[in-house]
Amino acid sequence: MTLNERRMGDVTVLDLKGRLVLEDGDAVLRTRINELLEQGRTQIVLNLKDVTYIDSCGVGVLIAKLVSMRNKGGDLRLLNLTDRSHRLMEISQLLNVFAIFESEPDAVNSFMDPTRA
Amino acid sequence: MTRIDEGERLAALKHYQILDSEPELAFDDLTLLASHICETPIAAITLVDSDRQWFKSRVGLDVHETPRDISFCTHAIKQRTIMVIPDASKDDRLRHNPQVTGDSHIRFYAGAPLITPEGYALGTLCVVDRVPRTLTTEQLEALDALRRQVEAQLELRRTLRELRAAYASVQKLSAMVPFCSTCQFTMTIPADPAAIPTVTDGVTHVLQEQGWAERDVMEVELALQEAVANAIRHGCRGDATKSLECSVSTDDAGEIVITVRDPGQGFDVSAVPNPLDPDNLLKPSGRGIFLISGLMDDVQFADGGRQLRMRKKKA
Repeated sequence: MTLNERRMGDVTVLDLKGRLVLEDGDAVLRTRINELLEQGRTQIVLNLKDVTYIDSCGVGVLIAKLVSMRNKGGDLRLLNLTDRSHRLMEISQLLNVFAIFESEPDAVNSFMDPTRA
Repeated sequence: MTRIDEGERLAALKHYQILDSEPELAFDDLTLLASHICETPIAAITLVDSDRQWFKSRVGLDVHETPRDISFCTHAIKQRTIMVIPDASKDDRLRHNPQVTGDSHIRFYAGAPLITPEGYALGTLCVVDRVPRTLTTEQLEALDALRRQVEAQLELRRTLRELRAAYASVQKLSAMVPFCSTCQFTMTIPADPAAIPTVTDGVTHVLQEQGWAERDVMEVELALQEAVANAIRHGCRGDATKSLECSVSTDDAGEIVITVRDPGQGFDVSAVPNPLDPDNLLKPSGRGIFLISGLMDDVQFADGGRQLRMRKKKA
């Protein structure tokens, strides 16, 4: 999996590309988010548009990092879920746990406007 | 290293299936460039067969092959670097050659051996003149560069042919799948996450060919991914030297049954916590089995948790 990082003010957008599964992508994402946490960047948007595959391990990383961000007063928000990711989140009943967006400006701006998250 | 076993060399040449083929622009372009750059009236791509040398491409030559016993290239393929003969009438090997003594009146020859990745010299890219001469360092370098291009073309041509053949057989196998009323296969998979896509892609392909709906195919694929990943992570403890067994069957009633068996200690299925429990919802792990249950119609464990059997009916 590859990660592209873009910064928009205090918000960091990570574009994920590839597979987010056991031993393929999970460690890369975990490491990068930990680095962002250390830099104090706790407002993260994960763009999942080009995630071709996700499994419970990948979901596990999302959950773990969501919890870390919220513990630091930030959040991890999801953008552009594929059908596959959506189905996995739905069965796991996580659709209401994450703030999920279909437009990038909405996702980024949600951090400025507390009522929209 | 150039290999010299003649039987193996000829077998390698045969493998390229290029002898007596039609002219191809990709080779003709390189021959033309060789002749221009080296400023010779004659240039050729030769392939040395058992009793002849055949020209895949030629400039300034009327014949498409010559007997091997009067071939210059048969000498050139014995070495790895370019063989340069400034004046054949003064070369011990060639002074009595009819191409030197006869009407062809060949004097100058430079041949770069075409060597396969396995080390067999199949022929040469050569430039020839009727007067004694030499090549400049730049011309020699260019001839060698063109030689590499000819070698690349030979590989490309062979690979393309092999790929086409492989693709045709895959298509034939694939075309059979929709006619299979039942389809059953058992695989022994290394406990390596890198092997998972091979298995899931294969099963996905079978279901697609059998006309399953896109969403159901996706669900079976997700469940299979989870089941195999679980067996690798827990059943084999991530030890890639271990292996697990997966069998898949589909029948004409439109049901798929997948069994995944690992060599591990097993586990107590009833003790697996419910990931939807508020205490567990935000835990990073423990979702695999629950997901499989949500994706498939029926999931059962046997043999102390070592064997998972799941089924789903086609919509």
